Amino acid sequence: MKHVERVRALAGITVAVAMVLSMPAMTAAQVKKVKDINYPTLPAFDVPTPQRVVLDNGLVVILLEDHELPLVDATLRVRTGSRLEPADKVGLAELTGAVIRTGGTTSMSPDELDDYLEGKAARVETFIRRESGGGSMSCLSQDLPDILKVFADVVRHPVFAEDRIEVARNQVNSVISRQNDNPQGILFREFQEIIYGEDSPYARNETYTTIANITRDDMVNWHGTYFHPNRMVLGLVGDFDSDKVLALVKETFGSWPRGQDPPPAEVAFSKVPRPGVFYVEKDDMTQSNIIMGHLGIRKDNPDYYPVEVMNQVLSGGFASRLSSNVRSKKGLAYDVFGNVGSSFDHEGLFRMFMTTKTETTGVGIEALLEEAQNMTAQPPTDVEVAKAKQGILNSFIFNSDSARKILNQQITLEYYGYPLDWLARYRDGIEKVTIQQVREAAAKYIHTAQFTILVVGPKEGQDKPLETYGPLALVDITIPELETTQFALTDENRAQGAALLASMLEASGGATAVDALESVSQSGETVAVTPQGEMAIKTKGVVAFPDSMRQELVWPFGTTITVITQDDAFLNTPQGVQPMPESQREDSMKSMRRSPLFLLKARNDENFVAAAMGQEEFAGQAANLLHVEYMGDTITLALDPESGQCLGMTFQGKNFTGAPGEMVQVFSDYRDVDGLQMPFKVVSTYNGEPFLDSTITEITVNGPITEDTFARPEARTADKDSN
Amino acid sequence: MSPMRWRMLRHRLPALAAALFLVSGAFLATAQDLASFNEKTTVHTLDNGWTFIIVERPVAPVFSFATYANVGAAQEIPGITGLAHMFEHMAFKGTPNIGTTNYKAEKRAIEELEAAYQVMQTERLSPRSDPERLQQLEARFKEMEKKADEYVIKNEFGDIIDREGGTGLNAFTNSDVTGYFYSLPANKFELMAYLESERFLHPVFREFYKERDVVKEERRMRIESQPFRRLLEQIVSAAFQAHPYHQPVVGYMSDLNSITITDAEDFYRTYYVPSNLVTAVVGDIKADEILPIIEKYFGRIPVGPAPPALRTVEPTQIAEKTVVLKDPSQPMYLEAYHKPAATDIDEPVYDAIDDILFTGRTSRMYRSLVRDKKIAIAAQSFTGFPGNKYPGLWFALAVPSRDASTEEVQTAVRAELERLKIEDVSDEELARFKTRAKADLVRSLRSNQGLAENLARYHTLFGDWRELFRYIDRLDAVTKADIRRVANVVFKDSNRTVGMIVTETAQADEDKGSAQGES
Repeated sequence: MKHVERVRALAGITVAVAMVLSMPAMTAAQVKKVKDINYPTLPAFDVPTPQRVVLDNGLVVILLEDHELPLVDATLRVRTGSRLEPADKVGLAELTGAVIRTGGTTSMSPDELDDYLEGKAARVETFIRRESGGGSMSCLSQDLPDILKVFADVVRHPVFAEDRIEVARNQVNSVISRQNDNPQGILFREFQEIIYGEDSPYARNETYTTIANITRDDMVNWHGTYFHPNRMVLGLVGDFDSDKVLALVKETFGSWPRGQDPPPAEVAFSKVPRPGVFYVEKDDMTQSNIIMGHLGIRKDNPDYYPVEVMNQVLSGGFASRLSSNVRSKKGLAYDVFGNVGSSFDHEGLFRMFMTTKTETTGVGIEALLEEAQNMTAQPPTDVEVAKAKQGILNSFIFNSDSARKILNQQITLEYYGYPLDWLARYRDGIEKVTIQQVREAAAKYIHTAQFTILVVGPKEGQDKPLETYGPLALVDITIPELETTQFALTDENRAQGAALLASMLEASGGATAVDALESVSQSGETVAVTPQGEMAIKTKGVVAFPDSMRQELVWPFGTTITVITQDDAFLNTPQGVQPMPESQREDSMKSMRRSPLFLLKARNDENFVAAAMGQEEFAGQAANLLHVEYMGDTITLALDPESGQCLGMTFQGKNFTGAPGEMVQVFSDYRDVDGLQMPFKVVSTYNGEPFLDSTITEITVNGPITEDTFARPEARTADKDSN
Repeated sequence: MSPMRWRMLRHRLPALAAALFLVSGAFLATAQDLASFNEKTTVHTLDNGWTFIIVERPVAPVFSFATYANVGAAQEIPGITGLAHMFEHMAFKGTPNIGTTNYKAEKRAIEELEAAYQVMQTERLSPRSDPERLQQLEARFKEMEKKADEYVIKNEFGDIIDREGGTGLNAFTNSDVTGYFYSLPANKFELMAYLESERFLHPVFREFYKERDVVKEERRMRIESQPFRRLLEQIVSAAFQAHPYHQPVVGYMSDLNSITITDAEDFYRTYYVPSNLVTAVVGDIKADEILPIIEKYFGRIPVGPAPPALRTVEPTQIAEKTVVLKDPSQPMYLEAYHKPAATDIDEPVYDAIDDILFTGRTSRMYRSLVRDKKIAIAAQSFTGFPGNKYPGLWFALAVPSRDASTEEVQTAVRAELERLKIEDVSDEELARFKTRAKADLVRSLRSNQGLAENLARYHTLFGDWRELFRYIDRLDAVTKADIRRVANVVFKDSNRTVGMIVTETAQADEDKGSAQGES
């Protein structure tokens, strides 16, 4: 590198000389220190004031013109929130918030809505979070009249299309299944649960069960309860004329009648500290994630401003205590922060957080504890407090440097009922803070003796036992399975079940004929309701008990063949032959076993369970319900009380998209086939909606089965590149 | 929440394509708008080669800037991976004038520290390393480190910016570039000129080895403790066999244990020459007022020789590759295809493919995988990772639903890619892409910081910020035939690297459902 250095040095001299020659007016004295710089006065800046109008129906409208670019944005805040939802339906608010937009309106289907908005590069979204709900809209200003109309339509007239509810439900369930993949996700979630209490609406989380409990009616009701214009703030910002846009708002939202406010609800959370060490073992990581703290404050706390300055000293910037000591000086963490958090209408959380390698877990905990203690043991100095205030005040302009920021602050203040000049008060409040107040705030709001300490990370390699820092509790983060209401088996109902099964056996042709059954071949026609619409399918199938089947479906787009044998399972589609995924093989086997004759053949198997559930209506007639458990499946059979003939069955199945739901099959048109009674008509519904309608034209029992029946065709093999 | 997030990679999945490479940009009426933008824009290159792009945008009395150094992890060779990013961290440590109580004494102490480190490292890396001697050398190094630390004023560089009202102070490193940025009140331009010229005129590598520990924590946090990032690191290193894009930006742990102050100084001298830097300034400033300040401060930096060009070109992939990460976390599915650099004539066609396949609820992947089949909860494409200055990768990502298998997801993703090869896209799809791209560009113009970063990025890539607007014309010219042609070139088995997470638990097989209908 020496050669390079010399070249650089020479070039530098040349440039320096050139500069002096070419810019004689420039002051020769170079600034050496930052304090030598003199700043011109910051130009006066009048923060634009939005216009506030309350419509007759109670809707608060806030408008702010900004003509720089041909764009308009709108924000809607609605008085609602997931903290108001019932404990057995956690997730209801979130799902409702999503499907208001995705589920279509009375005038536009979900797809029409998506096509229309995206065709104009516009966005309309809705959501419900913990403390509020709302929507947002963004469009080119030329499209404002059209898009605002759509926005109003979405929040006023959602129809909650079932299919879009299932998309959202599937997404939430999948997110639940992934909730333990990200260490910080676990850390913040569990910390919240420990501090606020795991049942508190500020901490609790949806489970598969609470999501399954939510119905479309719940969503319709939720929207009807909370979405009234008198519970909303609507803000618009952008390239428009305020008078014109106000007329537009009146046109689109003005006719929305006032609604009744629901009774105020108390949102409970724990105020009792839970000192101690909590630990989540997670071994697929190389760090410990550490968090500690307790409850914080509300923003309307009289000590709010001193607390803000104290937070700045602790962790507000590059030279704050946490960053300088824990990160730069000790090299313990990349990410470290801490502050006494505040919320608008309830206590926030005081949290100190860092991630550090497993080998310095104890050292890391000690470093954070030391900083917390030092906020009182080595209280903030004059210099620290002065710098903290200076930083907040000098950057104050950035609170109002765009019209969108100004508008969103106004909406938030309006929503929580805070004074609309809160920002100006904030600046005054910070200016007046004294060092004494900051020290008092530290003593008043940081209590290390009450700290909840939570660690997520590997067990192997920790430098000190976690018990060193307090009594240790292990936190179980296992994701709870879906709770299903279990049918309770008794000797009595099993005995009754055996009797029902016997009557069904008789009605089907008797034990001899049933037990002699080895295979069934049948062909027919099915009308299927698929996501692409109704489709007519020709079907041809062979089942050889107990474990082989071949099914040929002739769709409008081509033929698919599914084959399962003891040692093979494949799909033959127009795209070629592919091995069948294990999960799909399992599902197909399950559906094969769900034939009444197959179940009857298995009646003597030691794992076969049958129990009577009593009489209920099935498909419009009285029926004896028979609960059957076999090979991991639970099925409810409906039997004719007179003849014992199987009228149909109910079970958990999947539709074409793979979404699980309640499947009901109704059997009719029973005919005799070689001494066996078999239905020639099968009509299925999925969650109460039409699904399959099958007419069987021909059934052969114990027909010839050759090796070819289940053989793989000599076709090209589809790519098989993954495990 | 934390003001200290140096963004090694701005890696937010949903916005990735846009965040890493805002080429989905376009403008309302291109030529006209370029002209009007030209009026507000001043470009000035100093004698030493440092280029400044200044945009007057007097919306509020503030300004933002972004400095892009045309150097990234792709400039690293084996043994020094992670150094570009390490230098980025060191650029916050101050200068002889900032961050020290006594620079002369500190300089000596750092030199002694480095000498002690070099001796220790030689012993440590020796195949016949003597544990006892190593321990002594380590003790000596620790002692020197403590001594050098006595002169340090912690984080004074960042402290000045915080105190004077700076916001958004941060930096990032990727495989292509290293970016530095923040915003200040409009009356403090001279402060920015002073600090930003200082940090590149004479950076001081103080607290180097402590900061190396911080970077190691960053690697543990971002990569090692995140399932998706573990997978991404594997897939990228599999996709590139020769080009340095296969190296992780944050570096390998062994290299992070070994890079030295001397390495960092060499790297700085080679790549941080003014002609390799561009700064875009946007906000309530006037070009004629700030240009003399720019000359005064940035003109201090001496000319340097142009850095060497990267020699290695990734050879054409001839075999499909598959990376399977068996992991306790939930499944993920990714496919990566090699594509040309962002400067390639076909870049807008890739944008069209991204948009039609993946953007919004009207996109083909959303409608197939999320809406209809319900086998994924999200589908996304992204490019520009690990970089786009050199030929890079185009990724398709799908996050499988709880009951779906990666096989089902793969089949559905492939079906859409195949369709693009044999069928033209519709008029509506093409029009939607163009409308959306134009609107997105307009939306990107309303942030000082965003605009500054875009201008710096385009200048670094194309040598001319105007490409940001000219790109519109190229975007508007994309045809259906272009899309089919490019799809046929890129979506080939031999051009593909598949990456997936397969959940490894005792009941992995039982937990997987299926997306087939009952029949």
